[in-house]
Amino acid sequence: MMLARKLLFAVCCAVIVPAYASDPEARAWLERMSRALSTQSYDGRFIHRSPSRAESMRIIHRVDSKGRITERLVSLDGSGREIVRNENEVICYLPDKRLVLVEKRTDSNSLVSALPVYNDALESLYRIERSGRVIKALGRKTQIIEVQPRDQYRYGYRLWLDQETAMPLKSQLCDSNGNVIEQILFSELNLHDRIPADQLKASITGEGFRWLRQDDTVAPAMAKAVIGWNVARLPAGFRLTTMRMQIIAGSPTPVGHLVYSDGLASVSVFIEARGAQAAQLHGLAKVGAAFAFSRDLDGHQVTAVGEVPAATVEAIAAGVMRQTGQPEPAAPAPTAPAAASNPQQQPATR
Amino acid sequence: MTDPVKEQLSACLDGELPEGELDLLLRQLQRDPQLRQSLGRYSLVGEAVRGQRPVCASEGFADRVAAAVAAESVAAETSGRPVRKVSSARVVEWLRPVAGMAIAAGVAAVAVISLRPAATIESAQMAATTETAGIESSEPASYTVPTNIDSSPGAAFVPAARLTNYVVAHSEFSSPLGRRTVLSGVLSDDDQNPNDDDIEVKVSGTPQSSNGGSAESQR
Repeated sequence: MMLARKLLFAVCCAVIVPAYASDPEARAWLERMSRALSTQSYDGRFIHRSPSRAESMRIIHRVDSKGRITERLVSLDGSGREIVRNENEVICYLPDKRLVLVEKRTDSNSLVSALPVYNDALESLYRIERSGRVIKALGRKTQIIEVQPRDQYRYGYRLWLDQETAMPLKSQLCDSNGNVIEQILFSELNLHDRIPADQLKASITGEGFRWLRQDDTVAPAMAKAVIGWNVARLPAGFRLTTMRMQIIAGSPTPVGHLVYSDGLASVSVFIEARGAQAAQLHGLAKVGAAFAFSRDLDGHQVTAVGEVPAATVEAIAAGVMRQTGQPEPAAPAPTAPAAASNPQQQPATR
Repeated sequence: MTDPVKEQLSACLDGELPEGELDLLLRQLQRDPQLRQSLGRYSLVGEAVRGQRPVCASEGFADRVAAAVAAESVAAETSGRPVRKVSSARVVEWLRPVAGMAIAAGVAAVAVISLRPAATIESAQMAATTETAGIESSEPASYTVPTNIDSSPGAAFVPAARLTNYVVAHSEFSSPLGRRTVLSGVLSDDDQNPNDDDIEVKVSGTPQSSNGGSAESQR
């Protein structure tokens, strides 16, 4: 009997494992790409193209001697918008709106923790494939890697990775039918050993603009406001990876922020008490390739945001629940894994 | 108010005012508090907004109104002069129903949303829907028309900023590729110039591990 069981187990393994077993080379390429993106200093220009528009951008990505990343993204097409992202904050300069948004980064490790890990769990949600040969694209030798979603709740990527550097020279965001949602096409890419810090300074000062900053005086005690909220029904593969308070620039009330990830795609859920000055958001909205869906719940506004199909943010927003009967003070630790660490994820810097 | 200005305003509300004239009108509007005041009472606006004919603002108009309103409110906030506050309020009041939608259009650069002002106007909805039509068409038929109701006067600017806030906050938890996509979306404008095929990428420098002596040679 024992033997029969072992045999059965072996057969199961043989059947189950190969179902998602894929080209280890393809994974290796994706890991090479991740490493290149997080360790390499570079600047370049790319076209960000969606079905409705194309926009050229400049990117300057600096990794200093301590491995800290600063990135500056500049729109070259008239609006003059810029985003500067460093260890401490993300600053969005929107000169066409005479507005500057400053987001403090509270989790210094979010950069690392957001790095996808290409393992079997991920491959149960995405098919990862490599085209067998080297393709000449954009004037360089590239390797095409496809990350195809297995259902309609997430997007995949088609990546043209530079043979020599593993940098993505062209990347397409695709839906589960393979339709291209948008693409990023590099027209120039320069790798550097060092980039002077002053190149990471925005070209505009934002003087005279309206600055929206987070109010640091918001009581940390408010952090319990996030406790008791969760998403009852999640699309396959999504799990809670982070639970935190988000202080929103220009708002005195903190906002609960839950992050759900399937290992590659992520969706944030923001929970905000409906107040006089809270933004009134309803239904579906779109920001670039990201969707947002807002609804009312129990005197709160719940918004799900992510670079996922509309159906996913809608489903997640619809699944948000407030657990009742929660003792208000001294609430026990939430049942969900509140810690920011996803057991599947490991420090990715090496 | 002179007839040319009246005509300009009417054309402007219909989104038919040429770029140059639009600039001029808005500059005039920003300079001249009296003009703004009279505009506040200008009945055409009410008609256009509450009336039957669809109000459709051009993209340029939307952006400029958005910028003008933002500039106004900043000026009002920082100067604190009551006169300016009044005028700013009036501009907002005047622009409010149209601007609600127009700002939404301006904001479409940040967020493709339709914004329905307090007085629910079908025409505005219509106009706003045309704004997003390009993107909507690629969506499944079951797709809900994005709606964004804003009822507090003068707050038309906030929802989009809030959405941008959310998106930026979210991007910190995205994978590197996802973040690039999301942040590019925040930066993107509405301009349509999809004509960049057959691009050749120039790559210079050497991978991190080896020395990068040729890094600048491309320039």
